[in-house]
Amino acid sequence: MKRRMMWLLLLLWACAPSAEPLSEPDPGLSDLAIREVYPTTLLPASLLVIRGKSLPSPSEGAMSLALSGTSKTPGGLPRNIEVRLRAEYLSHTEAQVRVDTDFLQQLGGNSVEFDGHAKIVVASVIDRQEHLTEPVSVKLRIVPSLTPRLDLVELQGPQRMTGKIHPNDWLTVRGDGFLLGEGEGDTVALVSGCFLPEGASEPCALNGRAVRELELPVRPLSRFDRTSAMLPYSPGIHGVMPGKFSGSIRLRNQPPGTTMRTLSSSRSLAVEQVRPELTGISPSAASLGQYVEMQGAGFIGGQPGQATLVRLQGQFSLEGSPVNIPVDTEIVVQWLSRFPNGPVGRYVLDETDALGQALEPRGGLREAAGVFVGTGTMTLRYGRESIASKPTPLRIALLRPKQVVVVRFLSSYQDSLRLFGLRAVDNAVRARVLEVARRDYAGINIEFREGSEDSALPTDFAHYAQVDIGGPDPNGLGYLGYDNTPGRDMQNRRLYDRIGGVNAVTQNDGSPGYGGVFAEQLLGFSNHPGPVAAIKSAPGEAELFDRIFDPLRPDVGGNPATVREATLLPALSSGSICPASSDDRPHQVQCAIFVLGSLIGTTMTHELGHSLGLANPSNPSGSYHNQGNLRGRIMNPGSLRSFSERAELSPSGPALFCDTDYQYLRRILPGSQLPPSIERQPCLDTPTM
Amino acid sequence: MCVRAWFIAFGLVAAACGSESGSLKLSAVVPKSVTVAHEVVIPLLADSSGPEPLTWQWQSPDRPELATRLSRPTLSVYSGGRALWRFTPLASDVGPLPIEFSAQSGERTGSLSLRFVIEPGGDPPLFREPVGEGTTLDLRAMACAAVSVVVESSSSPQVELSLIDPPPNAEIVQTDALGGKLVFCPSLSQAAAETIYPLLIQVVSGPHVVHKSYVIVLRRPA
Repeated sequence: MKRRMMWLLLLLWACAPSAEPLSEPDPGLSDLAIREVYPTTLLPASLLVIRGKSLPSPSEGAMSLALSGTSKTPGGLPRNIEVRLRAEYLSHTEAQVRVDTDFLQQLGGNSVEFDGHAKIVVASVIDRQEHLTEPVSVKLRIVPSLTPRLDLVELQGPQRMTGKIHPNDWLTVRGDGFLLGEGEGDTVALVSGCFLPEGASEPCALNGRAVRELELPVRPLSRFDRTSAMLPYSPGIHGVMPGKFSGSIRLRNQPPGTTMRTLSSSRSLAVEQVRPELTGISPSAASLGQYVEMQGAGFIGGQPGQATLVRLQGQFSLEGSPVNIPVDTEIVVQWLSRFPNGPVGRYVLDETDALGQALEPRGGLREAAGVFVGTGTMTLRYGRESIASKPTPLRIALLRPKQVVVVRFLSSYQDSLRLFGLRAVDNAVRARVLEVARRDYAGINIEFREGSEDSALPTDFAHYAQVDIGGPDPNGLGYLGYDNTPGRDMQNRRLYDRIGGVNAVTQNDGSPGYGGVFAEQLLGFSNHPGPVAAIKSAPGEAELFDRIFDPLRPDVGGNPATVREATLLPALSSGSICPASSDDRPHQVQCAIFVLGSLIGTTMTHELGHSLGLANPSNPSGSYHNQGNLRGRIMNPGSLRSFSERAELSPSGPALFCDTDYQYLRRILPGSQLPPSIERQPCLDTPTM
Repeated sequence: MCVRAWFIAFGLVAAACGSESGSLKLSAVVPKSVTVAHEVVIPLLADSSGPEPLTWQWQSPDRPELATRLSRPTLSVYSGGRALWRFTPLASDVGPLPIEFSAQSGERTGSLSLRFVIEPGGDPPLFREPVGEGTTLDLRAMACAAVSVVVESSSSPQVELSLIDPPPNAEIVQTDALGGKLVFCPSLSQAAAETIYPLLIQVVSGPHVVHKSYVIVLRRPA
């Protein structure tokens, strides 16, 4: 679908009005760059990956890979070529080109060597201009097929020279011609031989277990490496019990859509499988919803009939209490095929499992902070086989809950930045948003992380909240922000709230379904709000807003900020010098960054407060906002939060969580950091009915 | 003015080209289909080189209420004749959606008709509980494992929970629209026969079917 989109964007380009290009180039493409192109050996249906910077999404422009240089077929003469290949957007740093018929035709066939340069070409939808990167040197080899060559099989990591192996330890294979997966097909290993269990006497053919061409998946050691690959010494070969295996291994390439298979020669393999080992855990302190990794070797799982358990035996001492609770429980850990320092066993602190339930009488994983001291014993269960490690001393601290919050800056937010003239200084605005968030929640056990639509999800926590920073309010209500998580999450039972997207449950209750922070609506504070509804504000507020943003807003004749301008001065930590004088452009830019980042940040901390159970956290039927008319409280209703307060241009300083709201946050998410010594206003909570 | 609208090959590009000097030329890119709860962004472009300010409007001839209801599309107007129309459809919007855009700059006007299909889609549901891979059931202490199951679903307020090919004595009891209890009370013969019971929990939310593997490992009496 994306590829079609690319083509059609180009078509649109072709039939777009023939007006002059717009005068200002798209600031979103000012950092556009190409870094490298991989892999260098290509087969039909391979994916050629382009790594770069600031690559545009389909709604921002169509992308092509331009190759110029010489193409040479075997025995032929080099010929000059200059081609453009449509590229598919993957992320802001990666795009790909599929080696299809068109690709092969343009390069000169399926047996070609290309030597030349590559550039990215973007046809921008935003400014209707063509953007080209600087070129990088590229050598590509296109071949019709590859036959695997196997030179060496070796154990990986500490086992490398010992000949001893645990279930799922890594074997590495070295040679050439390995397939990389995706469209071009896979390389698999075929293992044959005989397993003699520990204690059984030779000959293996009589007392052992024969293994015949067991097929195992092979993965490249790195994404584009055709010469080194890895495979797990799978329990499927002969189980998990100790013993000796002697046999051979060879590789087979399996391209898609054909029965043609190519085989390598075989190499011998002789190993001794030993018991699993548990050597420790990491991190040694964790909280509800956090992953804990077991270190050691031999972890199995992920297939029917396979499980890895860890038995914890010892004492759990409750924090702040002389009570020691005896512990004897078994937890199920997940096998993760991590390379090279793996596989590992991963466990997530879960209220529903045996450990979580065992602590339930003490308040569960939310209340029962403390330290476990004892031993851990790992047991592998494989069908009817069971084998345990030696017990290992363990010490694990259970911490009170921590809320991880991923702040996702969406592409619609970036689009809205253009209206403020701040698209090129996106990163500086984000930095200010996160600075505000961390300050407002200082002393609370919350960790803010920056993310985007493309970014990877956290790998250290299974439970984390998400706040989307978007453009216009999809509810059509002109909200600056909206918490669309269902109901009032008193005590923050859900560590995984998502303020963003649509929530069917919230919508089903008759409430607006879409949540997030809606940056575009902030234009409503202006005297000329353009596409958004005006926001009522006190005299002078709209003028103040316009003095900040008009010098940059393109719709009123301002000049948008540039990347360079954002670097001329350090970021502001206070708005006391804002608005800057009309002849001080560097400070005008910094003021606009500071103010927009503060507006988004303070809106975000307010919405997040709702999802944590504020305001009136002890009263299920109490107001969602602070009571009374005191200004300067984060959970005040919108009508009490002026532009200058949100923007932090007010001499009274930034808004704060009021007294009991902050105490509640400290109670549910007690941080190790001391609370800032600040005088907080009263919340005036509604008494519980 | 001649208005042309064509959906080349896949219905993705549309353009309306004015032939007379008094008309605005509009063009847009639109995906052929979009899904509920996923934002569709349509970049619009008008040839507005004149000095007059440009105004944009849109309407849906089949669904006039789309412009006035909650959760309605938004149109952001940029300089240089550019605009972005954004819309995150609801479950009730499933089906074909025609949209007419029009723009005016002084005396010059232009229009453009688009049509795309909204599919039920939505994000697949997520298992929020259990979050781990499994649990142990110590038969010395209790006869049954009871595990809370909680699902988050962005596109449907109600889901269906079930177990795929469960062993005897294992079931999911759905307790509310988005949650339930996984219960497994192994018989003596089950406890004697096997110690690992892999379960596959299924959640159906509209068109989405999502599975979660969960293993219950028995600790038998000594």
